[in-house]
Amino acid sequence: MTCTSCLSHTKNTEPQAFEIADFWEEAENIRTFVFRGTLNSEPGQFCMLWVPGCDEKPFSIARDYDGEIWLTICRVGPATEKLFTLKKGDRVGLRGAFGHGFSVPTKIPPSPFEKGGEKKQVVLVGGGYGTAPLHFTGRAHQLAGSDVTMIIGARHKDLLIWDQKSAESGFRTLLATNDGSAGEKGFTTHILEKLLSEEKIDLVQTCGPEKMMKAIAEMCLEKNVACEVSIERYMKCGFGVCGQCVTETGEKMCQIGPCVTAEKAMGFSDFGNYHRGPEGQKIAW
Amino acid sequence: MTKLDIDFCGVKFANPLVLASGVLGVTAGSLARVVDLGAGGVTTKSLWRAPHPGHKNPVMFGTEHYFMNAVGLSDAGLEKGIETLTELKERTDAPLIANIVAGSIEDFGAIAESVDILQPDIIEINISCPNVESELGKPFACSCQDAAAVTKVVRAQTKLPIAVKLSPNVENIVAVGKAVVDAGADALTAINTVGPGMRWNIDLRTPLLANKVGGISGPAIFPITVKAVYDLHAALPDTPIIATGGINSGRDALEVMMAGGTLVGVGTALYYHGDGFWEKTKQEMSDWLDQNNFKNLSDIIGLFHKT
Repeated sequence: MTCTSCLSHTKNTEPQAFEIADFWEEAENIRTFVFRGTLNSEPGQFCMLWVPGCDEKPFSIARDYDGEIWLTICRVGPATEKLFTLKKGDRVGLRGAFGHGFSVPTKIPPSPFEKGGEKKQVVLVGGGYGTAPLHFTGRAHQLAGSDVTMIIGARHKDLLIWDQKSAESGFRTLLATNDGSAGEKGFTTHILEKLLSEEKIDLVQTCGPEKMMKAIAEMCLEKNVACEVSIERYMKCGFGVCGQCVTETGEKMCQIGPCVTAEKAMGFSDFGNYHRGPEGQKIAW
Repeated sequence: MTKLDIDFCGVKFANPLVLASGVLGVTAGSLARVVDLGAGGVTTKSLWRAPHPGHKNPVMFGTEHYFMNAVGLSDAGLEKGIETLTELKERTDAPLIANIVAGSIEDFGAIAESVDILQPDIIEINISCPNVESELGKPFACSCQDAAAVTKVVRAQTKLPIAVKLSPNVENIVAVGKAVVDAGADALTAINTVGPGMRWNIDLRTPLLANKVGGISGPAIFPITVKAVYDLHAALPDTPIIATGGINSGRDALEVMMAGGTLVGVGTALYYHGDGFWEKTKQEMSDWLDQNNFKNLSDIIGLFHKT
């Protein structure tokens, strides 16, 4: 068989064994797992984590550099329940990275004294455990010389994740909690709305509850600010064959997403309204 | 450029490439998009009457030479099936093949009755999935009697063309083909995936598929497809065949049509070639037909049997 035009088999679609090198709690029921190695991922991409004998689920990648892969995972179902019982040295399967990540600079930008050398103002908005891939994304922007603002939201201060690491990394870190126990009382969208009206923002990237992302997408489109959202859909294969993750337009979120522009996302009638379960049934957000 | 339109059981297809059941196909939008990308027709995932959960992940993986899956026929049941077929008929004029499945012969009659109301162009009966044996027992396609019995109950419920999807994992596929044609099938689909097979991860000492075993597809099974189609066409020259299993190029498609296929099912090739497969393959087919002075694509069907 001639394989010059083959696209997918160059990707690793068989799970490979990875040892849990370390883990720690980020918040109640949210844990970051560390694996040694790399998936050669870009910020915003995802991988499939397989708990042998249980199930395999998609997770966005919280870090993939310096020989470490970090996955920040919330305990929500049988697979993660089992994962949370595993110890350091136990092995799981990983495959990927898959999908299309957030746009991050790939070139060294001009210096401030050069033409076009103004620093880009990037705002990242994370809601709940959706915050996980944004630090990785923020680091890529920061290394390219952009100013990064991280808006992190949760229901309560004990559920905030990556807020300290974000501040320690030099990101301007703004917090919102529903009950006002940390940062501003209310939603991340309120903080973003204020920033968009008071400052010049070049790019907004967001990951979190879909209704939050839809509100952000609408806000950015209205103000003509570039915006990308990370859309989570039920995934089985992760590489464009099973069709489980398609939007209502038939596009495969495991390949064109999870990160797409706000314009693209608003063209999906399901965005912010519903997703589909393992048998393809509609489930309202 | 030679036109690729073709007639199958009285249904006009703009080209012979049809999406095989089980790939993409979860929503009407997904199927409609496959038509937009160049497919001549589409086949739904296997439709059940009641919701059917399928197997846990991992359900599939690919290698350079073959692909394995054990999705386990997941489907949300009749209500969603109705939604999908109705919406799809609104979104595209391309022929629609509704693939149906059931755990018992009687239930095949019930799902056929429901799907008939929606009037797809063709009903394809899936009696040959090799990765649900632990749940449903030996596939009906492994016995001439069972295969014929399923065909008969479906025939009683519909006047639409029926294609029965056969299993390569039998001693004599031709005998099963003859049995279902005698029982009222208008056409055959050959072949379902091969196996089941098994693969393990040696580090984790765990099977690569959660279901432990799965059906094999992809380029490695293409010779098995050609042989099955060739034998079926030789025995049943008047019965049109949807030839599927490992077709990975325009030349493969032409080869399997010359062996006796009228339509060509495409599934795993989308893993190897992505969305561009449809147009690329049609171009390859058309170019070859031009270069070899064939005016009509239908002239090549069963050509190997005439030489």
